[in-house]
Amino acid sequence: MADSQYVLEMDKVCKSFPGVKALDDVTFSVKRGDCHCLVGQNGAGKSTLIKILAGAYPLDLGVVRLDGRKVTFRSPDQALRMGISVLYQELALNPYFNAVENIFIGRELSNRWGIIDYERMKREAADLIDPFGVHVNLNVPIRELSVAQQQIVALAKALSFDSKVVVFDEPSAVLTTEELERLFAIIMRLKQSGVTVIYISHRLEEIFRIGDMVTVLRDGRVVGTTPVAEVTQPDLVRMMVGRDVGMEFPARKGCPSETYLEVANVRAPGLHSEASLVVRKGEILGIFGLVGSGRTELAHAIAGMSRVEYGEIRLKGERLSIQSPADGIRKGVALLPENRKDEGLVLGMSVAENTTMPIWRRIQKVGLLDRRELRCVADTYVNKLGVKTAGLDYPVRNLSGGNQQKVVLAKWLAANSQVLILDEPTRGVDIGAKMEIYRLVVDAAEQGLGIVLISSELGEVLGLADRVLVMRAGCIVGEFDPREVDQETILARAMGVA
Amino acid sequence: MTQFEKNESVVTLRPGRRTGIGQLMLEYNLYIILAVLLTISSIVSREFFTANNLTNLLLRCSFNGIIISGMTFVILTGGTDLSVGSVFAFAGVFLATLQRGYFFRFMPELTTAFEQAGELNPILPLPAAVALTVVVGGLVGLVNGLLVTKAKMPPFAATLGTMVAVRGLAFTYAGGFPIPGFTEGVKWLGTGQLGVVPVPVAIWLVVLVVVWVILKFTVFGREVYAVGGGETAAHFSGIRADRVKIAVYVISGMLAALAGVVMAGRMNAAEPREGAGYELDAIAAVAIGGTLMSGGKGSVLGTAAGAIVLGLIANILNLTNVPPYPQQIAKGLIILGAVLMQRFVSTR
Ligand SMILES: Nc1ncnc2c1ncn2[C@@H]1O[C@H](COP(=O)(O)OP(=O)(O)OP(=O)(O)O)[C@@H](O)[C@H]1O
Ligand SMILES: [Mg+2]
Repeated sequence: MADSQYVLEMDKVCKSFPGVKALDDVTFSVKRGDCHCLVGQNGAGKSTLIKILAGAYPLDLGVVRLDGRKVTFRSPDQALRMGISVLYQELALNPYFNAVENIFIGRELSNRWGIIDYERMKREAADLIDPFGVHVNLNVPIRELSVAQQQIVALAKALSFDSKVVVFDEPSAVLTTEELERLFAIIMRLKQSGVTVIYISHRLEEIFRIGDMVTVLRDGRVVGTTPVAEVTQPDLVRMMVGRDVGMEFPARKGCPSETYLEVANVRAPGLHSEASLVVRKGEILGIFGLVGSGRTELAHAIAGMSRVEYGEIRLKGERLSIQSPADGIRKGVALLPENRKDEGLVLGMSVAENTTMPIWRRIQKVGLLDRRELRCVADTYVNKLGVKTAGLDYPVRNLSGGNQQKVVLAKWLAANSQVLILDEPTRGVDIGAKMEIYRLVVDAAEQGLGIVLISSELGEVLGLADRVLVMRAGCIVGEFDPREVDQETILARAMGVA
Repeated sequence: MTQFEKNESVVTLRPGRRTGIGQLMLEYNLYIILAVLLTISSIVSREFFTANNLTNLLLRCSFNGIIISGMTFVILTGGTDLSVGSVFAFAGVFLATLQRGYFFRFMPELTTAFEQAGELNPILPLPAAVALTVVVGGLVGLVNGLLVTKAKMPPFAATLGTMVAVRGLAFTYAGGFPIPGFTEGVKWLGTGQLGVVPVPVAIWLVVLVVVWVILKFTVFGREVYAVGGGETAAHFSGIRADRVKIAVYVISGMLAALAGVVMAGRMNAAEPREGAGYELDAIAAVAIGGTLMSGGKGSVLGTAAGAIVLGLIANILNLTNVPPYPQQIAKGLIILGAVLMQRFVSTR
């Protein structure tokens, strides 16, 4: 029995949360040595399925079999000991520990005197991280690293267990092309050594790159499982969404007019030279760069999250001094942050409250929160973006990752600013919703906002932006017209080889 | 239970309201604990359900009740305020000196003459004197708030410092001894009756309603929850987290001072020793009341119920003649039990 061709089988698994049936009669089998992909819209139940496999959630009904034997995991460490390791969608690292401590937490290596052998741990951690080709400072607390660097630490950790099944829940959402290629190489190596991989992503091209089998989930049910070779991308989309979705970027009509935001010779923490840029009214300015290239730092300096050391920021010709995010929002410069869990959302608060947080002060009447107005605004944007939630009063903690991201976006669209900086706005969002978000971003620009779009997805930047800035190592290293440039040129500039 | 509603691109989930005993238990578990305690009390003691005893019970709860109404704000932001007991004592002493026409009693030998004569010489009309005292309480809170936000001290350490310092200030101010005797107005605050309701209880109720309204309906109230639930996200969303945090310590200090004034009136004396350990009672009540100590979740009504639970425990132990030291053991165990029951019920 132990030699069955399936490593993992889920049989008629059901799982409900209050008000939501997350998994409904799901049957899912994974062949040994395969890279099995799992796709579906936001809230389809992918992460829930993974968490059940990993013992993080108990199941309501059904059976899970590992190597043909029925297993019931009561906690993730049980699953880990049986050889299933998981990279969770929401980063699960200790923010105060450094990378080495995070990777070896609970199983520290010791020398023969029983003393923790920190040097050895550090060497092994470096061995795990090196293949990604990204410099990660091993000595600082995790929270001081960028999201992408954190993700690489989490990946290294998931790989460090030598498990027979490794699950990746949206590993690519925060990675740029470069790191992603390296991740693919690592996955190929894993497969060659007989490890089974389960891979979740909203970027379907990735599925075609590395997947052997693909299972589509919709509203908690399995729509189908097929070999990747036998489907096309539109097929998958149709299975996920239940209808055809246009995949073109929305067309731009208006053309950018007068200058809105001017950033002149600004120095700030994380930037290694003076940065200057302009954003015009109705323009989408794309910023592309690899992990750690200073995109986020630049955005933070403009929107008041960090202090501008010197240089000038002008809005419509008027000199602005933005001391804090509150200041920025009041003066019309808002930032959608990249890290939704810490910076984007107050997880315990409701969808309605999160959506309206930046405008609470605006929709008050003598200090009292206007709840009708609040719900009305929230309702509008929740519908516009198609946030799948059990209600406006539902805590955002209970939403799926992609739906949380939609709430973050809803919040910043509702904030009604003049310049909107979007740092990875479509991170973890499904294709249907992505198209919807592109349309909203373009709409916003047509209505006269100045938009700065920071993204690791080059296709997205090229498809939406009127101009593209490329950043590398804390400096702006080039400006391109997306209509006249190809991906290779931009990538080469971002990596410093051209 | 769930119905799907198609709207072009997405599926929106509309859950049916969860009903039934489970949900009721979840939402009202604290009040259930309270009901259980009330029932036990009425069984073990015949005197319990007398109007006299119940009024007395509320009266005893009201001082802690006023203090924790302020403390609730602080704990909701994820902080804590250990200085409330000291501010409580200092407020009484400060008001006493105002009533006697001087601000400071560093040199007792100069002023004992006044007191022996029992002379009261209010330099301010009562409302102004009380207001000034409350403002002074707020100033201590301001110091706490600045230490926590600007000096980035952990709330526990910052308020531990002010707790010790303000206690010392109360003793210094009073010259080391209780100051007896207040004007009729102050005494009324502590001992008066509004119909059948003792004035301290009435004050508590007013504070409770105001705090409830602030937390539930004002922008500031929601900001308090947002800061406690996720400070960075709140900050990035344009909430001035530092100001919110300073404000909560100010409120906590003001209400602790108000409670101190009422207590001074009740005792007809300002006792610098008063209120030691109140910060712990307050924290216990907040914990029993189901407010998350890490912030972001909880309600002032829960805290009020927590204060009553604490009062009830003391009351019933007194009525059943449990001697003081074993009383403490029982009190500690019952606090643990209540908090445990809270956790148990609400994680189901
Ligand atoms: N802890 C929870 N409590 C309540 N509801 C939950 C919880 N976790 C998930 N859900 C709900 O279950 C459904 C499935 O969520 P899940 O996280 O599995 O989606 P997903 O397919 O991973 O989506 P995404 O692509 O956005 O990550 C969603 O409707 C979500 O709101
Ligand atoms: Mg997910």
